[in-house]
Amino acid sequence: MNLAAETLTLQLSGLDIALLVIYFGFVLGIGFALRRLVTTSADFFLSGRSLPAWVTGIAFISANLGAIEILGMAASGAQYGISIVHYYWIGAVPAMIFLGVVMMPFYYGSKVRSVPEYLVRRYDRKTHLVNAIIFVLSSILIAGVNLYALAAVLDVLLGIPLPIAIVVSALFVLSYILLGGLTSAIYNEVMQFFVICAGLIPIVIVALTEVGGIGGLFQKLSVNGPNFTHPWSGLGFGGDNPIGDWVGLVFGLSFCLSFGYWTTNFAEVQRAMSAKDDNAARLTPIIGSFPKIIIPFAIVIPGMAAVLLLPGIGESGGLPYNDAIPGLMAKYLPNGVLGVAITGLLAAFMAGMAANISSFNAVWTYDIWQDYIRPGRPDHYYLRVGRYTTIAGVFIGIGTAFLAAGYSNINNYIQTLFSFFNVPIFLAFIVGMFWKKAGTSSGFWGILVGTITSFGIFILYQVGVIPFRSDLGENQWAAIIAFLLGLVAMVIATRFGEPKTDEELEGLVYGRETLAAAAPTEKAHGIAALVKSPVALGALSLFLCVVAYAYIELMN
Amino acid sequence: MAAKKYDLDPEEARNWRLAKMFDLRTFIGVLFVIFGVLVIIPGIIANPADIEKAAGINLALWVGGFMLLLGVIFLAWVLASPPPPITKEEMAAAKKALEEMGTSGGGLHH
Repeated sequence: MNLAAETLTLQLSGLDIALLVIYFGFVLGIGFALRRLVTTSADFFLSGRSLPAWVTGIAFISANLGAIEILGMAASGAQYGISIVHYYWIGAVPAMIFLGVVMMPFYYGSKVRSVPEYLVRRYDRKTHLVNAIIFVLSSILIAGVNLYALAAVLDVLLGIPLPIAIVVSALFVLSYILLGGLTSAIYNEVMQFFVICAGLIPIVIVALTEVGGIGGLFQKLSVNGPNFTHPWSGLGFGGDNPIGDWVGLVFGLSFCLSFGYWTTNFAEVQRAMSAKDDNAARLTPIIGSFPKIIIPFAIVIPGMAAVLLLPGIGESGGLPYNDAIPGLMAKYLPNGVLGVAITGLLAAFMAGMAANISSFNAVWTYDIWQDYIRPGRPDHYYLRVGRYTTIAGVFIGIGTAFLAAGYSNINNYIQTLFSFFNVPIFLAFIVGMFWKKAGTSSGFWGILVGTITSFGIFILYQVGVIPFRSDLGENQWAAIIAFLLGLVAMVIATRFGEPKTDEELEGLVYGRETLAAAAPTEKAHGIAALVKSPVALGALSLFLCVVAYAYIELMN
Repeated sequence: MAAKKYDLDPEEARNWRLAKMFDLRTFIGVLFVIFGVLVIIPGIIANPADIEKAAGINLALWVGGFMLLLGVIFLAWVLASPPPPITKEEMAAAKKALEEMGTSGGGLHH
């Protein structure tokens, strides 16, 4: 018996390759076209604060919809079943609405240029430096991991040797960011979004036709146990759904982890900050939440269908779960459509890397170089620093990618390492915004204690001292405990430390928003006001999540 | 809706032409028209074996058709409501504000 895993190679026609070449020619062309528009550092890092909300909204979701996400969530669908939709409808959409409705006015209105910059004004330099350094390191290392994943896909699917794939894709990303700055990255993200949709939707249609619709899919998969097709099954304490228990899902996943990611990750928030006005900035994540509601139907459902349509997936000798989407593409898509789908997938990888590089850039230049190394220079100096930083960042990314190619576990180590910091940093933000009394040094202590806590729980779980039902469960509960202990540390640090004065907190805390941010900017009434209202659109988005859950129940 | 008339000097008119050409909607529109045409052609001449592969659906025809339609919609959108022109004074003011923002610092060295 042959135990070696089956491998997948796509047969691309001349037409498919032509589509790839045209797309990437376009991306470079956009870079050249935008080159003459970039004249200040804010153009380069914040896209001149000029983009309409639909553009920043799609870029917002697209920066998250990297190829690792597409392949990984389809794999989770094949492995865990429908429960993975909680990661979208509970574990993402509420956080996006919260960012738009509640937190964005503090970011956009206080005129900070990056997420760490908020911390220096709300707390002190220690807190700021910790956040800036962690962000710079994580985004550059994760960019390298993205690059490696892209090259591995090029290697497996198209037969391009790994080292060549790494260097060529990196130089490609480098050239379009260098030319057009953040605008170029955002334009590519929006185009990529439409292309990946054009590639994914046909797969969904064919896969569902083959299995007899969503109802037929659930019925055929019900032999895998109730947890596989019922999202709410086995979530009680003592239940056996590997997705976690309901407390972990609601407080750990939804509140701590997903609020932490969506509201403080600068790669995301940067897209909203590049919007043309306060209202467009608030609408950015809310517009992004609508595709986020639909995405599981285009990723998780085909992943589940792959269990039926690609026999042996996830078993020894079969395709790995990660090949669910590419496997379906190879089996069903005709030439031409296949080219569109592959283009979308490769563009998603590059967009993921470009999002990391462009946010790394801004934080390095504004928060580390300008604040601690060379302050007080004219603007064009920082624009130049930004360009050199891009080059250096891409080359560090290449180095990381080669490291990852040598030690494949390094990807997991990097993801795990930085996950320890997510929740504590979110803690510092949320407490800082809503508790006016939180003291100058409390942010630093909250981050420190929270990080040590989540690291400690991870170690205790790994050596078997504390049991959790799954890695996902550990992740959620570690987040909850880290948040609570960090909060205690912040309260103690506030009790014994210095407070901030009211003047220092102007525009930074709840109740003291700057006027422009607090006052409604729209004078329109009726329908016109409603479609531009972050609150109304956010409520609609949450309502659609409920509808989506009801639909899944109905189909069972 | 008729395009509004603006009173622009030659340099401003040139910048406005560039702004319309560099609008994201123009890029998406052109890309999807090209992609749509290239994908729809094999759909039109598809043989039964190709269609059989995709569960009996002529995918190339449908996907190509929708991409073409989307491309046309984006091009129509940018023609119907082009970005507004920016005068030289506005551009200078915006540039100055952005430069100040770039050098303002995070409240560390005021």
